[in-house]
Amino acid sequence: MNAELLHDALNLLPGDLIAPVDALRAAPRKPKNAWLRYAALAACFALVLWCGMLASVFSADSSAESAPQMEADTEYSHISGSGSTNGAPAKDNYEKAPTECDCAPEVVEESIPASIEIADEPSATGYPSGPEKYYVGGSAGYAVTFGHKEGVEYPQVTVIRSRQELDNYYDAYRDYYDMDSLEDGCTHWTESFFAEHDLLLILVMENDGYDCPQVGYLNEQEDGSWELTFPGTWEVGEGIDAETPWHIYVEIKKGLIAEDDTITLKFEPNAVPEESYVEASTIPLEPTGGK
Amino acid sequence: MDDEQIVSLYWARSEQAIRETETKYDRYLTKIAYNILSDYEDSRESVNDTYLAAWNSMPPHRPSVLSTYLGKLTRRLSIDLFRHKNRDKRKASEYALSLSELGDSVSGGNTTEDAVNVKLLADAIGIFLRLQPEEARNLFIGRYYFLDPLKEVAAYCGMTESKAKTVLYRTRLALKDYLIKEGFDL
Repeated sequence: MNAELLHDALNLLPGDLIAPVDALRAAPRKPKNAWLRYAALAACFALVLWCGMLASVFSADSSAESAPQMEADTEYSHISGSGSTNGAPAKDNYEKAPTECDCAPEVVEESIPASIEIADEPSATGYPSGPEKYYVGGSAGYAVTFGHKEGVEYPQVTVIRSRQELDNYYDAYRDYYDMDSLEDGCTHWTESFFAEHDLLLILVMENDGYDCPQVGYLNEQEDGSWELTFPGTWEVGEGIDAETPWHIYVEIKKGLIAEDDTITLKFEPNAVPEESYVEASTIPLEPTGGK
Repeated sequence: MDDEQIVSLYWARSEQAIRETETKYDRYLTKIAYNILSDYEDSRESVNDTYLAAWNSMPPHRPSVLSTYLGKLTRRLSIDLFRHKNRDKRKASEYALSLSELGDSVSGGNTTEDAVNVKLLADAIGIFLRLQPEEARNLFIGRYYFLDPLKEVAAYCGMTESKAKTVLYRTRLALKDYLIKEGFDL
């Protein structure tokens, strides 16, 4: 049987199946509110003006000592979500020496099957028990990367530390997954990006539902290992052909996770209050085609 | 003029039937034809053939929903024209794209029983679609019956393109499983 025969058969579909879609096609689309766009622009412009005025008022009073503090705060805020209510993590946790990568050509061999936990119930407090909490905020995303590769143990976590490693990763998986959907959506992963960031790429299979995965928090445990939590309720697949492979990414501060650190992926429904995590779709990606 | 009146004109063998059909449905039918043929001149030819086919088929037919009836005629005629004009090379059109996507649901082989089984296949697909959630059903019909571009189907079904793609992918795989279960030789 070929696809053309399917089209011939579709032509014989009963009218009551087709009519509702016909009505949807004919329905007028909700017009986009153009004024919202202009209002947003005006708001941004007003904010910039206001910041400029503040800066000029306070510039005379600012001391030389305050500059390093500002810089530290800025660095913290990069991976701290706006919903964090647990205080700033100790600065020491950011000062692990960044691990230099020799751009190993076979980066995929360094991909490790992550240990995985699936919690049936949310934790009593709504927060994990680790000593520090690093909330991922605005630097996580996902792409559905259709395809399948035999023999892969899911989920896979790979820490990418350079553009070269990223290219190697793309090349290694391109024949099996639709890597274009990730590559086309994340053109900002340049060499200068990797000067300040590392990238966690998580390849995970989903076996039911169409919900986009969400990233909750990245949390360092007492033993130095890391826990990355997904507060969604989607079902984690086992890696069979019929499942949907997702690439989830988390942009983290350079050197935050050392080469020999272990990462646990924790799928915990309702683990944190909704306002404490960002939906991964904050950075939407458009898949370009399956294999 | 409403559909019932137009159909009555066909039955009365009045040529005004074609003029009224053109006034009401020309744009609608051209869109269906263009999705398949991706060529304006060919689309015009196909829509004109639709008017002739409508003239020749009413009577004996008395369709209750004229748009769906005419749409089916245009779809079939456009696919025939596409196959005739692109026998050797595949042109880029939504129809050609959909052939590649629907390849997920079939083997691609050809059997002599195929022609006989089209009606059975259509019945099975109809039952399968009725078993699907409304969202998946609408997406599937929008993409593979009307052959609307993915972006457009996602928009009128009220979802993101990414989600639409995932739903379609799953529906195609589910269709394959269903057809195998129903004994079709894929």
